[in-house]
Amino acid sequence: MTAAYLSAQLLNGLQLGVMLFLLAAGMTLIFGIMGLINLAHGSFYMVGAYVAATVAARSGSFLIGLGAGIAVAVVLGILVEVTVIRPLYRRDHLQHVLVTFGLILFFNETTRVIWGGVSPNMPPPALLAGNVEIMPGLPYPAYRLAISAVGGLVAVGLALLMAKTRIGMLIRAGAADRAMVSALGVNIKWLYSLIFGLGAMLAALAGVMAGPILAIEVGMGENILIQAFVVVILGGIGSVRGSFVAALAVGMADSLGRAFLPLLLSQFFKPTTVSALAPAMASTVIYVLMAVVLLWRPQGILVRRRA
Amino acid sequence: MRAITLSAVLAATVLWAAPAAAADKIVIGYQTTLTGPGGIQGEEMVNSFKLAIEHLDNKIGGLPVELIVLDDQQKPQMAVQNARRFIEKDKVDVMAGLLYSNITEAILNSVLPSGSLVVFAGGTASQRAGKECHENAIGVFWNIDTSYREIGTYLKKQGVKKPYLVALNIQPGKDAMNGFKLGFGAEVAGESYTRPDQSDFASEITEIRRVNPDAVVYFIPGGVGFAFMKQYVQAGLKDKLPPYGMTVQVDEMSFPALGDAALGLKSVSNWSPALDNPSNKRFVEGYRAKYGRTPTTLGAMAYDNALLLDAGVKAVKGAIEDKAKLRDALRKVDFPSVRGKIRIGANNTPVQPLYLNVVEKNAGGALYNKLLEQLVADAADPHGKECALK
Amino acid sequence: MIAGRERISVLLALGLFALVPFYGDSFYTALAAKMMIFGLAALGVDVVVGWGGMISFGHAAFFGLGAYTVAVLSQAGLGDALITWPAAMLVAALFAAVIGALSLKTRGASFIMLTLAFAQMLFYIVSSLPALGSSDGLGLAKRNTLAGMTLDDIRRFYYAVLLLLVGALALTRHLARSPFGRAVDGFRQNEPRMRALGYRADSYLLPCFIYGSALTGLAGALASNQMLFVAPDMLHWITSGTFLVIIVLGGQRTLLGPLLGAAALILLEEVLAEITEHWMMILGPLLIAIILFGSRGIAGLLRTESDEPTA
Repeated sequence: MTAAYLSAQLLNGLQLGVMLFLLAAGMTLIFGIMGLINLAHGSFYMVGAYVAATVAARSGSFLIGLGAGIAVAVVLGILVEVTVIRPLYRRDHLQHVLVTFGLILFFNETTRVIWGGVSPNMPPPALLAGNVEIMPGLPYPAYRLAISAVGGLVAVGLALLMAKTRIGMLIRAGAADRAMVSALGVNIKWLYSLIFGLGAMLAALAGVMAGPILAIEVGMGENILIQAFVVVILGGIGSVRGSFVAALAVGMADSLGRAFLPLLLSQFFKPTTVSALAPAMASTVIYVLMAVVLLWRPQGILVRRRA
Repeated sequence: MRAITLSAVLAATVLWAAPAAAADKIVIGYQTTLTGPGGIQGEEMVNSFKLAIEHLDNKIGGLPVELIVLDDQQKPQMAVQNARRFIEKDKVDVMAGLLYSNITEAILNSVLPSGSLVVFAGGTASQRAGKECHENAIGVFWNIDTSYREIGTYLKKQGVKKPYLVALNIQPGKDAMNGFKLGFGAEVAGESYTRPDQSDFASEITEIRRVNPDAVVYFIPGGVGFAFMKQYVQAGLKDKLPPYGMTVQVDEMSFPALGDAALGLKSVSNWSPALDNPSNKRFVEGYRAKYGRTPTTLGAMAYDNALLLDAGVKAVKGAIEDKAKLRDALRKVDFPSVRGKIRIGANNTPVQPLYLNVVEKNAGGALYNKLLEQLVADAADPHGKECALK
Repeated sequence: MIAGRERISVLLALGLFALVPFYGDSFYTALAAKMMIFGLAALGVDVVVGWGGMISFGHAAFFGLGAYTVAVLSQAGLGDALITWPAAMLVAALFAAVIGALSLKTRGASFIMLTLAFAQMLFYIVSSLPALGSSDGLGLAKRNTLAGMTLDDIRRFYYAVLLLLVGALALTRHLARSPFGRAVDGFRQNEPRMRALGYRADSYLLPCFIYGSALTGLAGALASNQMLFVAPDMLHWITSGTFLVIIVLGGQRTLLGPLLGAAALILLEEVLAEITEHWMMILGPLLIAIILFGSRGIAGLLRTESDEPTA
């Protein structure tokens, strides 16, 4: 039982980490290459989920919903980039924070007006609705395994995109030296819109994947956003690979902290003290992790190699 | 700056011109959450409260009503500012509404010392029914402790030996679980408290599997509650280990989010649309006709809020300037509640029947809560004995 | 630098605030008091963000710490402002010393995120400690007294707030003009040069961070006195975001900016909320437009256009 229990908790951490990675990957690219702090990244996560749930319910197909959610988010992302974000690149971080804070208010309230306050339902695809017995005594929801798999595929896909394609090369070059890429005649505006759209796509993908397990509601983006920011900082700004490692670390720390802190504390304290202390401590685990890592290694867990 | 002084002068002029709170009308300051995730619930409260006034021929206790509705934005500070406005600017006769317990607490704390009267439909912290009870704060709400105490008694009777508790790590969550323990009266198999913004419950569900309890009791309202229930159902635990909670977590407002995941869930409530009494029929039919769906417990509480006010004002024959007399009337009066026979206990908290419901599909394929049985006829709050009021 | 013209507008604005209790009823007096309290909190943020160039996304923590200090002391029977308000500043300053010292090991985006992380940590701790009322918060039985004098009358409380605000503005102005303030300004503009000149960041930026946080802590103490209630949402990151909105709206590095920004935001909320319950749909784009097209803030507008003194 203990081996199965530990495996299950590790899988939980993995799956949470993968979700965080999908959000953080886009954020770290936008942050690293365009120097933009985007608090509104979570809005694409929310919009993706809402659109997908609505379309999936109408069409009866999870995949059509997924496609629609991502498509709408990408279009919206590029639209936002062109209209609101573009003038911001030359401004300071404070203005990024405030403009994207304004975007959050707008997207949240608009979503509430369009969809009403009711949280829409999005069941998982029938194929993935059940549980899989991954080892004796350990049934695990198939859908959660699928999330981890999709996250893994995206990570591999991103790595290939970055390593093998011209766009990837430009992105890497842009992260290393913006001015030089621009001087080489690359249309940097176009590149920026593309990266922003890519980020919106990954966020929407995460939102749609989360639809069947979380509540699709206004503000769902902000709860996960702060954690995704922790991932971006931990992984090193601009490093997709760093984000992947950091996302798994944060996912594990959060899941395992919630699972094992109460057990650990109950060795030392009375049950009433444990029930008061454990939730407070478990909530702060990832922030403590971030503070420790940043003080030890301000540039992030994986320092970006500069060739 | 000009805007303030200008409107201040205007307001002052208006106030001087009109004699304060004449009994030719009753001014009600209604406050609830109208924006953010809780907005839809606040909306149902306002709708139901207005529906009740409509059903009372636009009068409360025979007096024409001036209803002022404000949004607390689910922020205690905003709620207190609104309450001040009710008292100092609008000179309301009574405050009503309220949804989240932390907001109710903030408001009661700030307005009770100034002698204001609050008759509210939302939740409070458990000590409000006990040692911090106040004669001017009268609740017509459900009661979390009491509801969970009855779940505990019920499960005990069903032969449950080792229940597992999951609740949000907020005061109502702790009140709920303490209430359960009171009714269950024995050791529980385990408990976990989750943070309010946590939406992934995989870790807790894995823990539940490990502990292998014979019942699960949960208090996780709102969006995170939907997330919990979806994940719980996906883990395949619903049929093996049905979770018990309050009906507000599985009602008409939750069905769109939960879908068929809600089927078969049992819950405890202090009201049901199926209750057979004239007030309830009028309320449920009126709400369905106007808003196209069955109302929830929250709406019922808001409707009752208006019915109690109506009965209280009638009892003092519209002489509402005497706050003490009005208050005493509100505490004692018999009112035609949509819940059937209930009364306000000495601690200003309702003594009321509680029911067990189960989610089923009706002939048209829509989800609804079927009333299974009445668990208790007169559930009183367990903290009542600590209250000094008589 | 503070221009002479700006001094006039500062005095004019404060003068107008001093008149509010004579014209407004208690509700408007309370609303204006709230503006000043948020103005004071934002002044503390502006000291750190505007003057020091350290973008703190966690000042809600100090606001909340100040507020909770007053609430806890009041429950322990200590109700005089001469004790509780300095205590609130002290608690905020102590936490600021620790958080600031750690966060200042980084700069830029990492600094933003570290201050945010520490504030969120405190938010979670406060909202789960039963001794602090957990998520429900704590009520104050009554307002603090000031050297034995009751502040229950809103006007008296209002003038106490106004006096503190004036004091904080004067002290901040004095500090900004001192060699210390000029050095802090230097760090914001060009840190490597300051280091090359032999200035140590720890001796300038950290004290600046602590001072600003103490001001925000004092504002928290005042806020808890006005509302007679403290709640964890005072420490939430949205509150930190609101402070940043206020200073940008009002104009950074201007004495008057935080007060004007707070007044504008509170008025805007009141007015927009009257128009529609979906007022955030208007506030969001409005905020974006103000930042994209008018980045100097209200105080900045006043400065360029105030040939004839208007405030």
